[in-house]
Amino acid sequence: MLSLQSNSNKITDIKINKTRKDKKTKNIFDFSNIRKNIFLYLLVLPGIVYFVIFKYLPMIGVIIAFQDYSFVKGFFGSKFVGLKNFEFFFTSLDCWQVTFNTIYLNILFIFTGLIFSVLIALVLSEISGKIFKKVTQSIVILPHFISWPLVSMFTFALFTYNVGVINQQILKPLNIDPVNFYQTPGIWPIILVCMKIWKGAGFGSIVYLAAIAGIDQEIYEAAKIDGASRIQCIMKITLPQLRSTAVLLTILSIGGIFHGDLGMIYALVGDNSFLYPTTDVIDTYVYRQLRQMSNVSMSAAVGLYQSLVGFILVNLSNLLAKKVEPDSAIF
Amino acid sequence: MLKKTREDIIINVSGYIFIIVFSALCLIPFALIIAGSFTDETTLIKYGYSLFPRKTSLLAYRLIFMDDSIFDAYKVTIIVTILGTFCSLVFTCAMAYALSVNSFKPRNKIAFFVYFTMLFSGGLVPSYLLISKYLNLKNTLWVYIIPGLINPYNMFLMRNFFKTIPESLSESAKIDGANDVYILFKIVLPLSKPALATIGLFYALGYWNEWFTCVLYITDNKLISLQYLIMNVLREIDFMKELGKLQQTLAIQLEYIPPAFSGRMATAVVTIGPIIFAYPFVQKYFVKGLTVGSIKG
Amino acid sequence: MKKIVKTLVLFLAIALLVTAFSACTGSKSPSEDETSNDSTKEPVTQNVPKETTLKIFLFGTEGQHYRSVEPVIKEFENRTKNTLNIKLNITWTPPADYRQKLPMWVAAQEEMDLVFDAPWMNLERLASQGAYQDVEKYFNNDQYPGLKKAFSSDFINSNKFFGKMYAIPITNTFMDMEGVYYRKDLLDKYGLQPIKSYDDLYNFLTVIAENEPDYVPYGPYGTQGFFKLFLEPSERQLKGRVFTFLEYIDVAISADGKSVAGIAAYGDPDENYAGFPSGYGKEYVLNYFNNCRKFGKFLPPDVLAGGETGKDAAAWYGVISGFENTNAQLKTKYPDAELEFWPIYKNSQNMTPGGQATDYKAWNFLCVPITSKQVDRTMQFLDWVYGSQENNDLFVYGIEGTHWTAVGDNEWKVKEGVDPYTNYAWPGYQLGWSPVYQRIPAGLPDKIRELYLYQLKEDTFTETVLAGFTFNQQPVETEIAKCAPLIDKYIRPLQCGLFENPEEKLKEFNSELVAAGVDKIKEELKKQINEFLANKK
Repeated sequence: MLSLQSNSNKITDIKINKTRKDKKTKNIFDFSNIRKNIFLYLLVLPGIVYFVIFKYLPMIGVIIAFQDYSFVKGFFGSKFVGLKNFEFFFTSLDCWQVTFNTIYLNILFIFTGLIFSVLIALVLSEISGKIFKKVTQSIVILPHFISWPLVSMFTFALFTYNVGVINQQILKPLNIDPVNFYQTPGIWPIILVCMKIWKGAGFGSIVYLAAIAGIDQEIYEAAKIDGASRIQCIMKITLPQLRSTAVLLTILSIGGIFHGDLGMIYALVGDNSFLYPTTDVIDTYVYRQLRQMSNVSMSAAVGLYQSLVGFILVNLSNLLAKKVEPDSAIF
Repeated sequence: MLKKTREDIIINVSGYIFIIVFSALCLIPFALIIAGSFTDETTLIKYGYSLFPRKTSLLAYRLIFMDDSIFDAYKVTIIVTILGTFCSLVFTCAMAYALSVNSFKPRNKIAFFVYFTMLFSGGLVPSYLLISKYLNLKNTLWVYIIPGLINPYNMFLMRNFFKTIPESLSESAKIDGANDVYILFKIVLPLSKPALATIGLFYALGYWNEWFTCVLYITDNKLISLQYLIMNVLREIDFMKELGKLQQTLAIQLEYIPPAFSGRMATAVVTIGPIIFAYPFVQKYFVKGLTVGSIKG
Repeated sequence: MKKIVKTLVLFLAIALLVTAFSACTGSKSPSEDETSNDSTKEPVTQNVPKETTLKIFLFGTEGQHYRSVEPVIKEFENRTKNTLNIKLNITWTPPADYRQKLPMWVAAQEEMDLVFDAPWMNLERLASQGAYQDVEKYFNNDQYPGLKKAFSSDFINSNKFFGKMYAIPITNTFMDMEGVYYRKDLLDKYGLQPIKSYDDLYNFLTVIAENEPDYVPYGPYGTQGFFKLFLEPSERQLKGRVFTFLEYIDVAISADGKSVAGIAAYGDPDENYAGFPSGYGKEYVLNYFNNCRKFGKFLPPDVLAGGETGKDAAAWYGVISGFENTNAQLKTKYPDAELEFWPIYKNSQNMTPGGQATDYKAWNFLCVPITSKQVDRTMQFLDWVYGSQENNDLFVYGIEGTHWTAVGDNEWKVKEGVDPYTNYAWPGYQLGWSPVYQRIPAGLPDKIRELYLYQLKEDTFTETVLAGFTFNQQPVETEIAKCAPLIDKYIRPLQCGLFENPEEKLKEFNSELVAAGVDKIKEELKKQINEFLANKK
């Protein structure tokens, strides 16, 4: 009797399992799920409509990378030319050099930016002195609002050979020979990284400050009672809380790893060809290639290439993140 | 006990030094910019930047403010910033919250759907046709807000913030019979003040500094944004410089030559000014431990 | 339930607001559909034609490129109420935006009657894509006497694109004399004679470099250093029949003007320059770069970084039309300064008749887009503007007596007592300028005035053998894009004299050019020029 019962139980169990599995394999148009989460679907709906209209509809413009696009003929009338628009960049002599520069500089920017943003956020939340904190918090975000062309006026004043601040006020009194900054490409990755940190780290720390502000104070108090030192508090409580944000932002940045910062580099380096070997990135190079031609198809082709590579890299890093820190994976 | 105090002192002192140095590096250039914006242009070129200009001049500011449209521009920008930030926050939070709920099945697919738009875009022409021709948003206030309503980057950050709120809270609320919207408004959002402040700040800054929209979609002088007006002073200068590089003698004559250097600096000051005033109000949300006591067990 | 309703209502409200607003403002947009579709094919007769508005698109910012234009437009509309009956609707776009917006308007098939365009903006691209009307039939047509008067058929033919008249050339002269501006007061200070040769210039710059630490001896033309100095383009084109394309390809035309005698890229081996007349081939190029090297020490350091060093220059390149502006600026900084202008080309210095080479190409054009529904009325408007000195003056200078006064029969000046900074200003280089109606500013120094007059005389100019030729870059766009960055890498530093051995650098330049496909460009250019010369009448 019992065994019969248990058998029938087993059968019903199997049946229940089967239907559960069925439910899992059905896609999002599973109506019982929709009904259960109707509000979530409603919450998400306007956003989806927005993206479809304003982002996906215009995506048709991507095809101009494969066309000899004519403003008059439009998307559906222009001639299809396959990969021809990619030729000018991929057969150019410097395309691998600039690609390497782009990746190299971006990796430096991402990681130094992360370190300094977190550092600033940590320091600002750890030190005492309310007014001091508020004031310095406002000060460190100031550079974010200074445009690169304006910054370049200052960098020029700093680095120029004869009357520049560095050569005149710093090196000369120390009896060091003046450095010809604008003809020495090797130094510039460092200069660019420093400028990027100066400009972005303060503003970038805001996100981390907000994250730290959201940490429950009781955890700290409990830890202190258990005898943890401040360093331990920081390392074991604060930093891990920032991890998911840091991973998220890093993955997002990786998507742009093939996009050079045209605004920054063109403002600081300009048309100074001596510095190109270490500072020329894809965007500045293509800008100079197409400067006198305004061929939208060609620039679209390079843009597509940059986005495609970024896309692949993001997918890879997202998979990686899923294994290591599942909560901060993007999708 | 003594060890702790020593460690505290070390951390405090090194923290102070680091922040003071970094702040100085941020502040000095800005002080120079303010001083430079008040400097007479020729003095600026002759003697370089200095915190105490030899000869002051308000010409740069006069240039920016002499345009009557500046008052309209201020009006437009303020309205757009307030309205835009509000709308963006509403839609962004809605979407971000839904995507942060673990039991929401399509969340990863939708996240991917949104992320894809960060990388791939159709370019200016299709957007222009869509917004200007088909949706007829040209020369309206909404053209500043709607095309940029949800910024994926901000949305993902928001989702991330929502995820840090323990599920136990929403679960217990659900048991009590609340639905998701109630949870969002009455439980999650009040706990997300730092996040709202941050993302709100980001959006507000975006709307405040918006100028490219004007290039393509605004021809009515009463609807231009503040930043566009300010930028124009500089973009003219850059444009003339670019023309000169085309190695052609051009028969274009400006009726006067605007002050290039002090103009650029005055621009920066006028742009940053309002933000520096508004930022302290947002700062109070970045104080540690804001959410004390809300989470039990 | 209440919560669902609340949420839905909120979103619905916002959505409704959006649509309401856009629909609302949509209907408020200016009279786009109100212009009458006027399709009169006959010219203006005694019957006053139906009133219509022309949609004109020009670039400019209020105060900088144009100012107080309403009174003049009203005046025009009044004067022509019973003849043309045209109203003008001008859309002004800041120049930095205009270049980007025009293709957008074309793509959106915006209805436009008259637009500004130029080779340095989008003209060639849009014309080749068929965005503009071929308006040739309105010129040298008795029914449009104004156009006939102001635009000769030579002028028209020299400004055709791809064989058709897709654009109307707007210019007042075919040269803007190039020269070196220099500080005469500094010259006098050291007892030097006025500059009459490059040797004089060298001596002047040496003296400045040694004695005036507050000055940069020579102010570079951006990253192009010495730019057009050390060249004689008119001589090269007229006597030698040699032309430079893309900044790195030289082409020599045969003596009979029927074919290409030689084509070489900078740095090419001597054989490629074999077909060139002596003095105008490789030697000419080397002479230029060697001089740049010789004078290079007078440039400020970090010239390629493009930044201003803060010092003023004692001498720099400029064009004569900028004389007044430059002088005024200089005097605000140095009230005792004296500005002098030394034309750098021999034919300008000697004011040789027929010495100036020209292809009669204008730099600025007006185009009639194919979306215009009233081409005839538009051309009638232009016919009026170019119909007489009086009509022309109205747009270019304003209302006589209010904004300006005539001086003599070919000079003008701002009316006494009028503040030049609030006075009427109009970009004649977009609409209005014509060599036929040109006026010179009154009150110029005699020497400058002479040079101005030389520019305006018809017999100053000689047409080059390639006048009317435009290089269609599209077949070799890829190669041109690949070669373009090399200009920044080699030519700019060479122009600034930054390389010790220009000849060696040119060879390096050449090898990279070849690797980037310059031979293909040369082939295509040669082919197009031969075709052009064969078809020339």
